[in-house]
Amino acid sequence: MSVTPSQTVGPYFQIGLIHERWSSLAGNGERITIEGSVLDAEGVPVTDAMIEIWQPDNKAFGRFATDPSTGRFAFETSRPVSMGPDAAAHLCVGVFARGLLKRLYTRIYFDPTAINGNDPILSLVPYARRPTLVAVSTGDRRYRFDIRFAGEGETVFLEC
Amino acid sequence: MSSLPVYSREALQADPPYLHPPYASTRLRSPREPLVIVPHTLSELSGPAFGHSDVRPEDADLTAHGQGQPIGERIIVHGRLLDEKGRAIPNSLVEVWQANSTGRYRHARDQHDAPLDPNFFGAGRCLTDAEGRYQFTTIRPGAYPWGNHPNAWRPAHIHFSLFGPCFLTRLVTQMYFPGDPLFPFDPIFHSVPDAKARERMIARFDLQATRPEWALGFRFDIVLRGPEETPMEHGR
Ligand SMILES: [Fe+2]
Repeated sequence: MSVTPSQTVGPYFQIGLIHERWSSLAGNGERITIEGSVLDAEGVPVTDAMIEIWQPDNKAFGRFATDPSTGRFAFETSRPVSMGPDAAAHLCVGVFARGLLKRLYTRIYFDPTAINGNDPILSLVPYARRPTLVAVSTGDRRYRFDIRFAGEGETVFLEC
Repeated sequence: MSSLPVYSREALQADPPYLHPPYASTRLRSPREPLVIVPHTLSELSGPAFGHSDVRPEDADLTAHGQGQPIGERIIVHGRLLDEKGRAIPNSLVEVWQANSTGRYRHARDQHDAPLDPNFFGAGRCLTDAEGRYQFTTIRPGAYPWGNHPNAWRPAHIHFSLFGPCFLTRLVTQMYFPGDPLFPFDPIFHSVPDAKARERMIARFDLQATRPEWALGFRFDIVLRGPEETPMEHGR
């Protein structure tokens, strides 16, 4: 059988997909906050994007919309841990929006030295672009991670 | 530990590209750099398992949440959630959302000059059963205008969100209705390059599922990526 193709979530996904219970990720351990903006090819905030977070090390799931006036997002989770000798700790990120005909997949890493390591995914990314996948620590268990669809500092997107 | 399931990438051919200029919003929202093709690690091959969390039977009836009946043509939309090998995907979360019968969404940003229906909210969800079956009762949504190009109208559709067993099987799509005269003019429908693949987004009228004196039935089977068969499966 052949798969059903993807279509955009459109501008009205909140009706069916946004629930308070997924606004932060469950889990024990040290709680951290990740915040950022979703930006388009011209750097304009995307005020109608949906982000899904899959945390494979503790099987936590989160889903939320960017702020309808600022395009910003923030969520809380437990600090991810590495799942293998070379694998660097990370979160999997799916981005959906009007104008996205299919999900964009990226990852959030936390260890700035991971760009020089042997993570099986990170090591496939052109070296100069690896930093777009690493959240920037802003102190007090807070991190910044922007998602730029295209243009200056375009986030690395993955195909699986 | 058993070996990880193997997913082919052939299925990705069915999807639209990110950049589809006739759909104007893709122009500033599609990546310019090529995607980095990655191997399937445990992270892509695992995913949220919602189990029976808090999905209630009434969540599958979109007509049952107002003081009275919503206005419009009552329909039953049902089908199976399957993988590429035709295997049922059981116990998997299906979420839907849609416009009302006038083509208006209950959403602050929808400015279409068509009436809201106080008895219709437009969201539903359910879990597939052991054979991958799902079923919703709802109102047939109306077509609606949008600003993509002059006199642009979306064919009537219901938005569907599916998970399947792992991160890489996740799918968001739209279900269309058979024979819609707006198909030739819709850049979102036509973002799917292959005509046969486009047809897989169209439900078919289902007389069997039609409940006499009550509601028309439509059947929409949804196929997600599936793992290659493992030697163990051959053996049983
Ligand atoms: Fe829609």
